[in-house]
Amino acid sequence: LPVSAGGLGWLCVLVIACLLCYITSASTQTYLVTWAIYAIGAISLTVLTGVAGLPSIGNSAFLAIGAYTVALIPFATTSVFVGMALGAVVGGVGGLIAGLPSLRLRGLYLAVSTLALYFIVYSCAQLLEEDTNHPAGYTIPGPQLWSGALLTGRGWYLFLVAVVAVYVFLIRNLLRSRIGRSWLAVRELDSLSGVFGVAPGVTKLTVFVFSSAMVGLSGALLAANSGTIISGDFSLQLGVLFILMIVIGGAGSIGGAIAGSGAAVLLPYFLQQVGQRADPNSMWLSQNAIVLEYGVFGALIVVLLLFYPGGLAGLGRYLLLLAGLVGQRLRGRWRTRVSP
Amino acid sequence: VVLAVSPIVNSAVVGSLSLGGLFALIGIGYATIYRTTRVVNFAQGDFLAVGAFLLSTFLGVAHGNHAIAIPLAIAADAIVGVLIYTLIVRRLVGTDEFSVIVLTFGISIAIESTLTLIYGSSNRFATVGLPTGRINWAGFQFSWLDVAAAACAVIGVVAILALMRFTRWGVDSRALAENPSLAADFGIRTGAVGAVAWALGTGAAALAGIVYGATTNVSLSLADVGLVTLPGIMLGGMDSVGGALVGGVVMGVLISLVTYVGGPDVATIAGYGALLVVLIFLPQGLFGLRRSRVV
Repeated sequence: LPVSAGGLGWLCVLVIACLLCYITSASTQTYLVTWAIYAIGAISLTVLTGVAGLPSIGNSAFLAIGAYTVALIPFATTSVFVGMALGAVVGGVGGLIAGLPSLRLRGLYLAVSTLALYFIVYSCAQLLEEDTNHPAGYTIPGPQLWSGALLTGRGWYLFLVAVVAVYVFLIRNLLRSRIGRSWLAVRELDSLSGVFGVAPGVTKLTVFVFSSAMVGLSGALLAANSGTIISGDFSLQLGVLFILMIVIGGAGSIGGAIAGSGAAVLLPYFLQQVGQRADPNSMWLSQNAIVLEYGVFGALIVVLLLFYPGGLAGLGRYLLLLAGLVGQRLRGRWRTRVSP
Repeated sequence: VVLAVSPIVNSAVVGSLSLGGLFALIGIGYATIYRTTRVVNFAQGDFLAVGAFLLSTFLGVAHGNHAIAIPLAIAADAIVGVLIYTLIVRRLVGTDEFSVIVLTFGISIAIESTLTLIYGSSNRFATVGLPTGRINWAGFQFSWLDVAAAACAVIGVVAILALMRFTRWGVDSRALAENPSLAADFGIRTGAVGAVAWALGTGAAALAGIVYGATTNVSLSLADVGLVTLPGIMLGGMDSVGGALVGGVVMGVLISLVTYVGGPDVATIAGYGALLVVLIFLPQGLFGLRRSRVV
């Protein structure tokens, strides 16, 4: 069988993800659907930040670009595929513009330029809503197939799982190709990458365009999923939430991005459950649910960065290493290493 | 003789005076912290909010005595800043630049949630005890708060520049900015020097928050003002205190003019558009040290 151990692991995850919708309630499935959509954005961000080393704070700007593309272009809702394609194209163009400063800037300055882009996109969305008299945002019909059949419930979830699966398959192969290795080279030392035949400027632009196109695509899916979009949905906190996802997962790890987005989506659900167990009738808890949620997010970022910068992927690698050591010892092949 | 000043000119001049002054004051805070500890504190806006909220509390405790409440609020805010630097930020300084950025965003979210939990989401009011009447001078119309904003900015810049120029801390902070580990080798207590920078930076933010909060009201939207000032600081140069003054005033004029013509959303677009242009063509700003390189 031409499948590596890692590939086999991903297949298992895919099977579990598909089975998950048969054993969960409809209300839990809405969380799973959001997870799948956010996972696409988180993977794209981890490729940009973790693999290519280009920091971005303005991730929700590209989500907004994808979502508003679907809302504003009339034929974008004829099929979910058209919406995804248009979201990706417009998101990619936005990424080209956002990536231009990356030709000259590094690190901090680049992060600030994505922040600037976020505020410009956000204010444009607000202006648009005021000028076209849409104070409550735009309504978007649900996701349709070519045949006109509406994707709902389990079908919509399985469709999204398929999208994520294709994306993971493509990105895993892309990262092992010449393009993926050039992204790594740019992260390690951009000024030296030219020695190895990697043009740093072009490479940075490609990764920015690729990542923003995929976030735009997930924005289109988000719009189709939620039914209405309003500029307030795309807050700066949402962008920071995406950073939290890759921090939880461990920057640069695809599996970590998926696990991290799951943690970020399920955390509110989990907190809600804890709150209900603790005091089901508390007015204070229900009134401050969102505030508490964001407080926990913020505290989580601080604690993870201070005490566990490797994230879940680092933890996974550590456990694998530990298991390997234990296995070696059990088989009696353990030898103490003599330091020179 | 009363000169007739058109509303646009009035808004531009008064805007440059008050908004520019406030932007400059906030910018000094960013620059002081960045110069010394190489941290762009994205939670700086939240220290504006903390200062203003604390003032509203202390005014209640001190029965409206501004002479007690305002210094107390600034000091308490600075203590919060020092604690956050010493306990959290310092442990990550010098590692990965992006981690530090994300860390300050995390702190920002945590502070905002804490403030909402303590004070609720309704607006509060905290005056600074200045007369409320408007001043007519040479045809211009402005309030005492506008004067206070400009005065605070000038005093703040002069004070911090003097501290950097004439005290031992100033020399130490420059050494720390240049090379932290070498500075530590020469016996400079890097933690203490950084903590003083954070106290000054967050104290300046508290003062700006108090003045700004008095012009409108005390709410969490004060925290957003911190990010709005970034274009001006980048224009002046991230590590230049004097540059923060110039950049703040320039952006203050731009923002107040564009707001007058096109409204707040257009002003935001103009401000951040200007930031992108500055970042692409002049990343080190007008007065900053040239640290970027073209790749």
